[in-house]
Amino acid sequence: MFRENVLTQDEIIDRIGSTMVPVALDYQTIRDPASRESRFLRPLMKQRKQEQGLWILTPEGQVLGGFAGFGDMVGQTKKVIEDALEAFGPLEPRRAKAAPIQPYRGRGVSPDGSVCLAECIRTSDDALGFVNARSPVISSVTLSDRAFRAFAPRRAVVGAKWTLPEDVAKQLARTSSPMCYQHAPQPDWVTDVRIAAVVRRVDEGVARLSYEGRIASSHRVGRTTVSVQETELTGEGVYDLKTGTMQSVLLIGSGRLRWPEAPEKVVTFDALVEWDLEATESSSQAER
Amino acid sequence: MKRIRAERDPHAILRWCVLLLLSAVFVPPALRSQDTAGEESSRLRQKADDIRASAEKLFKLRKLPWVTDVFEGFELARQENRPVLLYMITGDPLGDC
Repeated sequence: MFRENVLTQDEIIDRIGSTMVPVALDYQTIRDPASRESRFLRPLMKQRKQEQGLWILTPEGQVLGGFAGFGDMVGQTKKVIEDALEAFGPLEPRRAKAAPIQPYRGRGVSPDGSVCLAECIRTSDDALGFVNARSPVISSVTLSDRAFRAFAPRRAVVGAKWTLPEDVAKQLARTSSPMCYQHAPQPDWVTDVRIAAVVRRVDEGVARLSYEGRIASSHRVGRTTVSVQETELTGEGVYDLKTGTMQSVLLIGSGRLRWPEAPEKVVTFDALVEWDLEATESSSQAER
Repeated sequence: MKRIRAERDPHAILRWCVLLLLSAVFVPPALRSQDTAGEESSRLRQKADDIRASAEKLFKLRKLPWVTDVFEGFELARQENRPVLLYMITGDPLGDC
């Protein structure tokens, strides 16, 4: 929620980037009291009643401010940042360059041969408002070289058909729901999946492929079913016969989510899965 | 010309009719199939652009020069004498959401 609401604001991003050293940490890292991070941060965190969220500290570890609430997240964060900067004192503008994050998301092949499919699932904010969630969500799924081969035809002749192995198709579980973080579907939530493929056309050493399928999942907590959801997928791929490699994959999903406890609240959503061998880095990050 | 040919060959009109009929039956489906595939591909790409654009804002945080090692972050802050902004959530703070 904080990321979707606050770290999407240009003014805040620019202010942080020009004044502070931004550090990102998985909260799980400090849940283990024996971890180095925990031993370093826990004593500092005693200065403020807060766990996850945003913290601003001096290099010596003095807490200048923090935020982890709801309500006017943008307004409150701006105030926390400005108060902290004022308390710290004058600063020269910082001009550090951002390093690529997930450089293979939706593009290319990583050095170990794996491929990272970019995913995006969106619905309207209103649709998820009553569960305090926002849309869209972004995710990715990394497939080994072997798993990714399931998208390629065994025989690149027009009309050749095949079905993606269930364990590979299940990796696309995220496309079955617009929910995020701990509510995001995992492969073991999948209750039914089938993705079929066919070679539609072969031209000048390039095969055009079509994909059709369905993926359904269920979010269960103990014996309670929190939500059930499913997505119809349709898409296309390009396969180079000369090199025997996939060139691109694009899947579009159209889904529905239901909460058994609130059956009148049916959420419809769209899903996107994509990867392109030749896509540029910029298109795989900000634009892809 | 056609009338002259028809007068010379009484089956010419019939042959033309058969040819026309055959082309009407067989050629359009082939063309239609290519057109439909092209349209479907174009529709998919348009939808992909639309969905992708809706998520663009989520990548804005990647403009920042994040440090993912907390010790390195504090060391940098010490060297530059500036505050640390620590963003901490469960999961990968910069990756999927």
